[in-house]
Amino acid sequence: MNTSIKPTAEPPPNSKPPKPRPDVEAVARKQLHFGWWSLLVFLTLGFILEALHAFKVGAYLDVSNSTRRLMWTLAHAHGTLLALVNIAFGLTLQWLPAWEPRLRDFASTCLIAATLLIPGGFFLGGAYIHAGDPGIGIFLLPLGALLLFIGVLLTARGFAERKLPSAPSPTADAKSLKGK
Amino acid sequence: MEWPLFILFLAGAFALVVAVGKRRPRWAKRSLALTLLATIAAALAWNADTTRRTRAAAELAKSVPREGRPGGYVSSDKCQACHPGEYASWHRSFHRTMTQYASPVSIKANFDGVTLELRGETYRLQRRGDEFWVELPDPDWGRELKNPLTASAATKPPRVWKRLGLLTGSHHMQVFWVPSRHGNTQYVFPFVWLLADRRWAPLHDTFLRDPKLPPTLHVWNVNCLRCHSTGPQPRPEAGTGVFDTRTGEMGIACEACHGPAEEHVRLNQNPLHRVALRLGAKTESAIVNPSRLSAARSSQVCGQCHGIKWILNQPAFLREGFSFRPGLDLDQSTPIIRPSRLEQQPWLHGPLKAQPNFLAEHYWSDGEVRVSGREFNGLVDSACHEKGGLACVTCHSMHQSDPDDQLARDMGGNFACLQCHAQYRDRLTEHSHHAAGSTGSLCYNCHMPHTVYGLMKAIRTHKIASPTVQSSLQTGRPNACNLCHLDQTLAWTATYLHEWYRQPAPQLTDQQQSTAASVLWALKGDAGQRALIAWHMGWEPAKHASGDAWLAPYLAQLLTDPYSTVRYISHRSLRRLPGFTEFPYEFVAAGADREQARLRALNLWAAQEKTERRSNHILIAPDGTLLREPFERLLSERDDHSMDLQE
Repeated sequence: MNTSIKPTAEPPPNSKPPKPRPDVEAVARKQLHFGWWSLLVFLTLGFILEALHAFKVGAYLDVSNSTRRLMWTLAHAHGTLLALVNIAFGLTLQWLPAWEPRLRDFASTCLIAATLLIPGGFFLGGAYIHAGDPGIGIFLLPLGALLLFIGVLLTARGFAERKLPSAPSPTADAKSLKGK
Repeated sequence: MEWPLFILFLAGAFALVVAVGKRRPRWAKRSLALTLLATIAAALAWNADTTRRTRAAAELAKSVPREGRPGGYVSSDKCQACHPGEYASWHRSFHRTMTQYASPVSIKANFDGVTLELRGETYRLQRRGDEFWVELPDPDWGRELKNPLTASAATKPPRVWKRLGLLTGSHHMQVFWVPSRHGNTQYVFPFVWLLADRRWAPLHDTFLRDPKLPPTLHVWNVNCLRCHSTGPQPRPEAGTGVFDTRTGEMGIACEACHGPAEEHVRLNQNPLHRVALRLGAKTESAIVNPSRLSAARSSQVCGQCHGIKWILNQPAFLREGFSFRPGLDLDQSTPIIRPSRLEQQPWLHGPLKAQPNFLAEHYWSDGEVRVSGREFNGLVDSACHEKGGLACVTCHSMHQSDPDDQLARDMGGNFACLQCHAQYRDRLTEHSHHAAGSTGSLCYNCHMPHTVYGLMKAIRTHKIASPTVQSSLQTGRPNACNLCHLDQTLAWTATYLHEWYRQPAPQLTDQQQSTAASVLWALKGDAGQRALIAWHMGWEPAKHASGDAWLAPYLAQLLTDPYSTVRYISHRSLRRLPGFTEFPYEFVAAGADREQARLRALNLWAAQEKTERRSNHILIAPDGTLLREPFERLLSERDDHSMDLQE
């Protein structure tokens, strides 16, 4: 894996993205693949939750099950949002071709794991409720939150550390024209 | 499956992260490992705590009446999903909290290391986490003593710690229930928590009850459940009397007024059915809406609890609960006891012979109810209901009202009556002979005076009638005029009622012509009358109409009354008088202490300005001092017959 590409080789911000390198493309494809399928899963969950409303299913709507209702609603909302985050990450990678692969791959994994753990924790926490408290699944959340934080932090830093070429000065432009 | 799924999720996420291998930054490795360990540790601790709480809840559940019963009751748990507004308004109401399971949310009383004493016994109270415990003489001891198989050799009940399971009340006081070892019988704890005063008081002393009568060991499963729970089934075991009580739900919930909702829920789970209802293609027949019933049927829904009723088939009730359901005729299963129509209630004659005090414990001598919580009895005897179609929901609303009295919007004033009696809208002063806007022109004050006793106060009667002196003479029930004009005689009232409304003038004794009626009731009256007068001496409209500078000696005297609730009410009214706001007094203190309090109050009053005291009819001399001789003479004539008002 090539880790010696200099950040200065990146294109200026407003230019079209260059053709992605194979390793970047592979990660982007994986992330987009995961993101879109996750979106399908969590939108389907939303559809199921609406059906539970339509048929007034007590296990979801009764007052004694309000914790489950809250947990599953949160699972649906967080899952959908995190699926979009994964898609955004996949689309972002083309702007960061020189991102250190070690950090890039780790950020990618963190986001995928968070997308499993956060909605999964909410869902599992709602599946087994104890009076007004969620089940132990809720403890997947801190881990998922940490991974999400790391993933987003690494991506943000990836952008922050991207060095853009400095704008050419008028003198330099004149010199270059003269040379021609 | 909870743990395997948890581990599966955790392992999956862990495997994903591990798959990145050595490319992870070192700091990430450490923080992930730590978080993973912390996650597992927290889940284990959480699981242990949940298991402990589940076990404790299961243990408690065995000792208290259980919710859930056959007969189509599904509980309010099912209602919120479709009726969130109605659920919320009910949830705010005191109906919901008529009976609750003991918890830090429901219990307002102080349990932090409190020790209480009553008749030589000590009661210790403790809060242990979310649990509330009391140490008391074993309440099962007396019952077990009667059974040769369980009787112990002990001569007095052993002391036991009991975890409280239930409490009733949430508006004025909280009553606590101690579970038995047998079945789910609940014995009353002998102290109540007075919410307004934030203090404990002996239960026995919160009822208007002859202090010479022995305390009653109340059992929730026998009486209280009837109107403090929804769809109750007492279910005593034949022979042993051990209860296995069930209810549809604790407290008065949706199905108490709307009927069992299982079929309604089942039908409406089908979205097409709901669409058809919205479009008017179908009508809802599986649930009752009391506001759409006739005045009689609608009021019977309230009357099932707010009335003194007779259970025609007692064995069936004990086995299966009430057969009455909203929309049915209450008279077919649990008719209201109306002393004014005893000849139409032949089934009552036998029981009344067995309990000769029953009527006196609930009614004035003309059959008008005198104890609280029985408003339906008053309503059905009112012409407004019988002839005018007045229903409870004409003035009250369960879902659009203040929880305090559940009066519907604008029903706190004259609009309530003017709905039907519109002819008085512009003739109010002409009709009432009181200035418009004054408390004397408020319909309620004349036609629904506070002649009902309950909850340590006077409450408005729901027998809507006009004040007469004759009824006061016949029954002893104070009339509305003299409850406001405390300084006036019955003769004064009779004169005006004759002049204004052509009421026939009654025959009155010299005393009734010369002495204010409130003075006679306060000094000579029975305990029920004394309680009502003591309350009115603290009532702002009465103090405004009668002046309050002369009331202290009467309230001071009532601080030594034999009946504890009369003393309690008197102290409350006394504190509303100028100069007595901080007057210290303990209504359950020993007799000598109460006498000391009386003397202190009299001294305080004697030291006050005397010019505002009126001397006419109220045993106050022209110099502003109390006329001792007639005062003592009236006091010596006090009606001390034993009373026990069954509110």
